[in-house]
Amino acid sequence: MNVQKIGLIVRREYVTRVMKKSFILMTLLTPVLFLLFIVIASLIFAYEGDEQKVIAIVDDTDVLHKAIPDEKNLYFKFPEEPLDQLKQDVQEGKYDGVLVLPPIDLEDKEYLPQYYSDKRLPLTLDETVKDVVRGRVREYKLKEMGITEDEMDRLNTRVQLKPQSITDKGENNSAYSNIIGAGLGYLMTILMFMITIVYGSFVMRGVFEEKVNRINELIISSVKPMELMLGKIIGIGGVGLTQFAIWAILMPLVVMLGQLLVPGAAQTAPQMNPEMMNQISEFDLGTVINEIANQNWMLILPTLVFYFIGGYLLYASLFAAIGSALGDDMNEGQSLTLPVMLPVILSFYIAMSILRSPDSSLAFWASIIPFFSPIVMPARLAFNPPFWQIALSLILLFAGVLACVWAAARIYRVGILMYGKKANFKELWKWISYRG
Amino acid sequence: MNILELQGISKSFGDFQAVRQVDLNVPKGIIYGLLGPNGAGKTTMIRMITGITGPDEGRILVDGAPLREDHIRDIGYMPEERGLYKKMKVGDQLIYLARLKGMSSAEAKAKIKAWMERFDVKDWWDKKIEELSKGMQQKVQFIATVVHEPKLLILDEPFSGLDPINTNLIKDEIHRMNEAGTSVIFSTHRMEQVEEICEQIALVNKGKLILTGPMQVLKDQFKKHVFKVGFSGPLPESIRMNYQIDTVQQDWIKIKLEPEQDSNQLLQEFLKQGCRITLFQEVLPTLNEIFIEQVGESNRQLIH
Repeated sequence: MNVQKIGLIVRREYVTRVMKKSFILMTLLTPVLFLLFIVIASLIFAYEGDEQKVIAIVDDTDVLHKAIPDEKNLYFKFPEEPLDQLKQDVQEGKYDGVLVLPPIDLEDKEYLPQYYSDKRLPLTLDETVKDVVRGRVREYKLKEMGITEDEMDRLNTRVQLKPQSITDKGENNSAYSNIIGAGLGYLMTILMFMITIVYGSFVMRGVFEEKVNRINELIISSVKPMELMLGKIIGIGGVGLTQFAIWAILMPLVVMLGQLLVPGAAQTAPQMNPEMMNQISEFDLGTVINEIANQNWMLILPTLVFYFIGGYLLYASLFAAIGSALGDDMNEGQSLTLPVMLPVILSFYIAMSILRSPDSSLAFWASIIPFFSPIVMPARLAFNPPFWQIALSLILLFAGVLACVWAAARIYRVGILMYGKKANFKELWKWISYRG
Repeated sequence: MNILELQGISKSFGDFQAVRQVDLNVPKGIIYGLLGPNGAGKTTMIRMITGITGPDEGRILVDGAPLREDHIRDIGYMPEERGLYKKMKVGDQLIYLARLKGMSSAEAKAKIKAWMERFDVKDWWDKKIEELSKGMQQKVQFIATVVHEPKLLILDEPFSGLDPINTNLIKDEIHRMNEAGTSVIFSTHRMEQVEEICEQIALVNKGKLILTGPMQVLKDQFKKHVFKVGFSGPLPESIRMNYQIDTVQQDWIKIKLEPEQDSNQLLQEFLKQGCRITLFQEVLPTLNEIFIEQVGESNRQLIH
């Protein structure tokens, strides 16, 4: 292979793409759009509605002591009129509803106040009213049962398992290891998934365009098909790295900017389940930073680079082969791209599911088999998988890369000179077996 | 000395035999025609010569040496399926293609500038290919083929899709380069285009070589001994009696001579009868006629 010529091809593939207006726009606009998304999302979350409600309360047993602070958009009144009169007032628009509080039964776990109105309360106000009443009922019950607030507080015990290694080999984890591992694994998997899909399809499109432009035969009379294919794959890989490098710099800036614009944006934007929120709110930042710093980055980072290179080469070469087999109409190619997309999507789901059990047998097998490992293994890296598994997985991955590049190059050299109809898998198989 | 030799070349794709046992010598400095109907195996042969695919059997010698990677610089190839990067600028694109052939950047730039000046298109340097008309693109394509000054120029159906002006322009350039020592191989199924240009031809059908040789020798070999005689006055009776008449027109006639008959005697017969001769010429077969006859012949042989 002629390294100098591959270099020329890499340069052309890289420069023509990076200099394109659409590339520059995409690269710069993505963080801006992201910023916009954060701002809009947090504004939406912060928005609680501007409906003002006035609620009349009938409290014959004096549960609320006639005093209840007005909430945002919610006002409480304690009128003296009888219920029938109040219902009348609601119809006349003086109040939005009447809340009737029954006497509290200490034995009963349920408390059922009635709300009289023809319109239901909006969900958030409904919650607010319930919260207020629940708090008062609780106070009332505590007082009746003779329990002080302090005693009640002591009944709440926080339990957390603190892992302690028995031998030196044991995993030296803090209480937050699992969550942080999952977070890091999640990030790495998303990164690998995007790289394979996005830049893989760039490669496919590039190969296809050369074919449609009918320039292949001219180029192939100067360089070997393998050189053209590798040059293209490496060049586009470089474009991907450039884009990610720019984003890596811009994204933190954007997030900071977002927090300046909308205080608290970062907390409200991601939708998390309350349980996870609870755990996170109990985090103390020092431990978290400590935990992240304690990750074995000396192993994770180089390993991640190998998975990036291996995963990208493997899938990009397959995408190149598919691109060469397409006919003049790219849209016809669905049936050809699906078999390549399928393992990528599948491994993404596998990776998501094993974040919960990173040492399961599914996790093991999926992170060893070449087509899945570049996306699945990065999800496990933060959980300290045994070194031999990483080594085996990488060896198999690069064996897989060699096999895929070889097979793809054999399809590619035939495919790029075939015009008209797209090929089917039977034909691709035949092309692999052609000599010379 | 031959610029190109094919020795026992064969190539199959699966069960399909595209080229079978072809031997071919192309002398240096010649304009050579590789002729055959569509699907005869011409393009496959050319792809083997340009190193795009390798032969299953046989040897290819370029300028006396087995085909090597650095022969890429010696060969200029214009494929039948032509194209350029549409989004790339003319100058950048030509430099890129020339550098892939092994030229240095500076050398390529100088040569390309010279060619663009020749074709009177030097202000196209920064234009994208997609901004050019079809005819303009063809000029750029031609520059891309010849910029590295190849010793052997291979043109596959070079005139298909060309307008008459560009056809003449490129014919002139080919002659000029040929006079400067470049060997040229034309591949086409359009005989009339080749007849006036090529000195030697090879005729290919169904992957096999059926005929090779210098144009004049072939025409001589396949001539039908037909003479065209122009004369004034009525056709003499003795001619009508003794000769096989092919075509009769107002003022000329075509006569096919039997092996024992002689053209001088025919002329004398006309003179003896007192005819005034305005034309006396042997009718040689056109390449097209030889082609059709030979291809038909070889198809018959392949069937039986």
